[in-house]
Amino acid sequence: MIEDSKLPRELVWDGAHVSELGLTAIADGQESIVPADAVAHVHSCDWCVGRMGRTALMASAVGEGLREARPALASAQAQGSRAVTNPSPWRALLLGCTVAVLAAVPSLPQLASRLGTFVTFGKVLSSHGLPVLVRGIAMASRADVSRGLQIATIVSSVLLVLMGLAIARTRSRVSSERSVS
Amino acid sequence: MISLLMPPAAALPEHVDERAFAAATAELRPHVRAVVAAVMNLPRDHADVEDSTHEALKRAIEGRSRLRPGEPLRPWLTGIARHVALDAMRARKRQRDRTVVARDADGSSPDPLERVADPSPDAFDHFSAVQRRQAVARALAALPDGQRRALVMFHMEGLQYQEIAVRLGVPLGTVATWVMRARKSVAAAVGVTEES
Repeated sequence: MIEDSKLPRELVWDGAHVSELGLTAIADGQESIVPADAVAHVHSCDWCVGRMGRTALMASAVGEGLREARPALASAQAQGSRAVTNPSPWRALLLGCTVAVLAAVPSLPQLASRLGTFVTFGKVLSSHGLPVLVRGIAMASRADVSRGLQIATIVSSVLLVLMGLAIARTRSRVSSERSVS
Repeated sequence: MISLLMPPAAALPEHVDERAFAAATAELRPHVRAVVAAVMNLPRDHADVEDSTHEALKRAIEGRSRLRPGEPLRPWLTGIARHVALDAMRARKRQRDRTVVARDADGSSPDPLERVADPSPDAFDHFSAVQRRQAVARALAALPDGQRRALVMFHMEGLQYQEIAVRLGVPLGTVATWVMRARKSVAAAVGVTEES
């Protein structure tokens, strides 16, 4: 437990006058934790008295506002606690994953035959794709290529769209030839 | 020492007798004088400040039955002091206006700015109750956790700084800083400044 009886002097004094923090404590009726010389100074210094009065007015206005807002704050807290007790999204996610796995069951026998393709793809990616990616990142980190990267992003997006269209067109042509034959 | 002189943020017990209440309010005389001086923007030893301080304490003693059970004495007294000081300023302004009119009739009108000065209500008074509640709730929600808890414990639970420090496990200076900053944030959110 932390036991203090007085506010540190360096917090209470601001040069020759009492600090804002000291005035706040006095205005809040916490004179017992403010060094006695600071309290005496406040009551004998016009500048500090005026500041303390303004601080007290603000404290009073804020305190009144908080007491008025108590019902609104209570309902907000209740809403907050309800939000905490809402069922977590994990159940929904688990249900979704279960449905996805069940839907994939019919295609599981074909998966074994395609496993070789996946392994080959992984090998090609690790031997060719990853080095290219690493080199690209290294180059980008060395040079100020922010503008170049923007252009590269746009170009690669355009290329991807064109490739997608080409693949789609090829696939549709193959399927139509098969249907004719 | 009268048993009534409990920490000022704490509530007064029910069925307080007039002498005990007068002693409790007299303890807060410097506080009342500071509020009056701040509102009137006059030195603490100005005759008008002294008169208004006396008037505020008198009104508090006469109207002590209006202090609701559980309501802290200090803010209640601050409200009375503010109203008394504003009343005094309005009376002074009316007096000045009469003087100016009399001088106008003589053709010797002084600074016209004297007619403009008006102790109008602060920004807090202009807010509707609903707007104020919403603004306070939003401002409180936006505060860092420590500041919010310290402010709520002080204003709504009536705890002293030392009790808050023990409860939150932080030094006294931290509590004072949190209360000060939190209060300024809430005040700024609802348009109350130290100047208003």
